[in-house]
Amino acid sequence: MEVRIEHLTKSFIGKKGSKTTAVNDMSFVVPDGKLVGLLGPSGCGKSTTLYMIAGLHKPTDGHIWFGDEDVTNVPPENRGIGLVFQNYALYPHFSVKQNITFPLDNVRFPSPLQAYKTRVNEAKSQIKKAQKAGDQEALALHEKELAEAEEALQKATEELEQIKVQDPERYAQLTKKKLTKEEKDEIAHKMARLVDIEPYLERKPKELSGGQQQRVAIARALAKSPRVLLLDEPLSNLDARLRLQTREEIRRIQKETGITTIFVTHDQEEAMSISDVIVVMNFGVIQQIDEPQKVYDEPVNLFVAKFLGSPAINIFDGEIKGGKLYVAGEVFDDDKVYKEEYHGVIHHEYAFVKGTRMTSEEYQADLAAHPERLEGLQPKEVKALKNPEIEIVQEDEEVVKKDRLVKIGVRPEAFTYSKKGSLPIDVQFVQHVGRDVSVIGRVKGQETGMKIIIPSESWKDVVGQNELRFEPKRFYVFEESGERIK
Amino acid sequence: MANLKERNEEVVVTANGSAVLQTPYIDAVTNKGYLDVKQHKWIMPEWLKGWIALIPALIFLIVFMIYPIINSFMISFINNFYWVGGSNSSLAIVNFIASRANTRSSIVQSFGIQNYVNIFKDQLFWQALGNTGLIVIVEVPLTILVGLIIAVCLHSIKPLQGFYQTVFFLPYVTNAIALGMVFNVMFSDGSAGLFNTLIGWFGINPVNWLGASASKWSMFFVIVVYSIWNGIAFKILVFMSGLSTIDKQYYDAARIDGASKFTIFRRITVPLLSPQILYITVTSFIGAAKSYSQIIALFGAGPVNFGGTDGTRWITIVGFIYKYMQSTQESALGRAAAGSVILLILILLLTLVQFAVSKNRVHY
Repeated sequence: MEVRIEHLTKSFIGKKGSKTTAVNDMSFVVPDGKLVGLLGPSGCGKSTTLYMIAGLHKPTDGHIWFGDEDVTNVPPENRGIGLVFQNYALYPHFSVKQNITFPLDNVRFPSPLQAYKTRVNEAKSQIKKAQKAGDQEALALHEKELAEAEEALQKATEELEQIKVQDPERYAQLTKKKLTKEEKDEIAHKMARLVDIEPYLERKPKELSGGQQQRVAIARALAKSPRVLLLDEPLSNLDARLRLQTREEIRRIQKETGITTIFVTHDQEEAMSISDVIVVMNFGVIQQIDEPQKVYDEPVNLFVAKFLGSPAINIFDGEIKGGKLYVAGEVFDDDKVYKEEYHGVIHHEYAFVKGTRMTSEEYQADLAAHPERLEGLQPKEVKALKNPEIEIVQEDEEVVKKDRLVKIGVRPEAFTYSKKGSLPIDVQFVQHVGRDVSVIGRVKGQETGMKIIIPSESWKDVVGQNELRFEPKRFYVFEESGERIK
Repeated sequence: MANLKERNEEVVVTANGSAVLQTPYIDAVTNKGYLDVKQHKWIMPEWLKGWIALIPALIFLIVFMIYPIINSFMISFINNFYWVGGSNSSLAIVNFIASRANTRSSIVQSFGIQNYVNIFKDQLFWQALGNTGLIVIVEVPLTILVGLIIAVCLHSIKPLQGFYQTVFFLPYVTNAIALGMVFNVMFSDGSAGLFNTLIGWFGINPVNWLGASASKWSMFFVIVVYSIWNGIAFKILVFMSGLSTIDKQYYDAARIDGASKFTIFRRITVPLLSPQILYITVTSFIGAAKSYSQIIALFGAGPVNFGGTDGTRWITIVGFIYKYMQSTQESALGRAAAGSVILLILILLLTLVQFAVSKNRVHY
C-alpha cells in the first residue's frame, strides 16, 4: 500500500492563544512495501506526523492517502494500520497471547447480504430525495434501481438459503460474525513465530525483557494484517546491544511481510541502517528525502549535514572573495559557482529608545554620562527616564552579495594527509585508536574544533607535529543561512 | 595499627574479640546503637526511632481500638455481666473479679457463652442480621457500579470537570443527619413530598415512603438511594485518581485495535482500575455492614428508632448493639458485646473472602 502525504499541516493552539506549528505543509510518498524512516531532532514534528497517519491526531490541513483512498477523516480503527508505541503500550493485565489477539477480538465480519442491503437502502434514500425535489426523471431511474437492488437481494438471500441446506460448513463460514478461538490462536502463534516469541505466549508483559516486549508490540500491530505498519521510536527504550539486534529484526520482519512501514527516530544511525528512504525533518519542515547513503553523501543543507554522521561533520569558516573560496587566508577552492551572486534576506532588529536608534545599554550609558538631565525632576519622571519604552523595529533587508562568509563542511573520514594539502590545521593532540588515527585540532586561525580520522599508517607522519596539512577528498560549501552552494 | 587508632570510633570489637571496622551509619541502622567515642554521645538505633515515631498513633489505637475490642470480647464471654460500683476499674476482667467479691448482689457473673446463646435465640438479632445482609448485597454492587460509571464519564469530559467534581463531592462534606433530614422531606408522605410529586407526573399514586405504616420495601428503596448518594463521592474520587494514573496510550492502542467504547471499558479500564475497585469493594462492604447512621437519620425519630410501627423494621447489627447498650434489661450489655464480636468476625470473613477472590483478578 502506497502512502501519500499531501500538504500536511498540524498546528496546536496554546492556552494563551499562541499557535505552534508542529508540522508545516509536508508532502512525501512512501512507496509500496518500503521502509521509510522519519528522522529529526526532538520536537521536529516527526511523531506528530506519524500520529496523523495513524489517525490519532487530526491534521489542521492537508490529506493522507492510502493507495487511492483518502483516509484523512477515517477513524484510526478503520484505516488498517498497526502502530507500535514508543513504550509499547502492552496491556499489562493480558498475557502475551491475549495482547496479540486483542485486535482480533474486535474484528466483526459483515453479513454476506450487507452489500445488497446497503444498495437497497441507498436506492430508497435516493427516491426520497427525488420525491422531495420533484424530479420525475430521477425518480423513475431510482425506482428502477430499487427494483433491481431488491431483486438482487432476494436472489442472494435465496442463494444463501440454498448453501445453508447443501453445504452447512460453507454457510457457517459465510455468516460468521467473529473469528473463532482456533483462528485467533493460529494467528497468535503465526505472529509469535514471526517475531520469535512463541515460547512466551502465556507470560505477562512485565515478565519479558524490553526487546521481547518490543517484539510482542510488533506482533500485536501485525495481527490484523494492517496495510501500513507505523513504529514510533521503536528502539529508544532498549539498551545499545539490543537496539542493534532489534533493528535487524525489524528489517527482517518488514522484508518477510512486505508491509509498507513508516518509523520515527531521532537516531541517525538507526535510520541509516534500516530504511529504504529517509525523510529528514526539522521544525516541522522536510529538509531532505533520499536514500540513506545519498542523504549522507549529498546533504542539501547545513542542518542535514550536521545531523547525519557520527562522529559529526567538521564545520569551519571560509570566505568567498573575488570568485574564489579562501580558508585561513589561502585559496581553498576555485569554481565558477563562487562567481555567482548570492540573493538572500538578512533579518534586522533595531531598538528605538525615545525615537533614537540605540540599544537600551547604549541609552543607559548615555544617561549616566549626562547626570544633569535628571536634576530637578520628580521621582516619577526620573523613573520614567531611567526605564524608557523601547520600540523594536524589525526589518528584512534583501541583499545581493558576491563576497561573503560561508561555512565549509568536511566529514572526519574524508581527509587525506598530504604535505601539500589545502587545509592547514593547528594540532592539539593525536590519538591512536584501533585501526584509526584521530587528529584533534583547529583550522589555522579559527576557533571551532576539528576531528580528522585517517588510517593508522599515517601515524608516524602526524605524531609529534604542531601543524599539519590535510586534503579533503570531499567537502560541502554552505551559505551562512544553511543553503548548499557546492 | 596507628591508622586504626585514629579512626577508633569505627572499630567495633565483636564477641569473639576480633576488631572489625564498621561504618557508623550501617552500625546505627542494623545494630543496637553505638557509642560515638569522639562526641561522647549515644546514637539512637533505628528501631527505637521507629517506635518513638509510632507512639502517638499507638496511644490512640490502644485507647480507642485495642482496649475496647479486648473489653467487649471479655464482656461477651461473661454471663450476667454488670458493672460493679466501686471496682475502680473499667477493665471487664477486674470488674468481673470485683463482682465475685460483691456479696450484696444476687446476680452471679461467670464465664460462659450465655450471651451468644441469648443472642441466637433473639428474634431481633436475626432481623438485624437479615437487614444488614440485604443492605450489603444490594447497596455495595450498585454504589460501585454507579460510582465507576460516573467516574469514567467525569474523566472523559474536559470542560467544567472541576465543577462537576465539586458537585459530586458535596455529599461527602455534608453531615449524614442533615442529609437524612433532607431525604426525609423529599420522601415525605402524601402528595406534598418532592419525590411523590415527581412520580405523580408519570401518573403514579403517592407512596408512603418512610411513615410508620409504610411497606418494608419502600423504606428499603429510600435507604438504598440515600446510602448510594451519601457514599458515592468518595468512591468517585478514588476511581478518578485511579483513572488518571492509567496511561493514555492504552486507550490509543485500544482505539487502533478497533475496540468499541464498551469493550475498552470492560477489558481495559476495569482491569487496570482493579486495585482501586478492590479497595472500594472492601471498604464499602465494611461500611455497609456497619450501617446505622443513615437509617436513624432517615426515620429521624431518635437513636434507636429504625422505622416501622415498633421502631425495629430496619434495625441493623450496629443498631442492635446500640439498642442493647442503651437498654436497662438484664445482661443487655453482654448481648451487645456478643453482637459486636459477631459483627467483627463477619466483616473479617467477608474481607478475607474478597481478598481470596480478587487474588487473580487484581492487576497491580
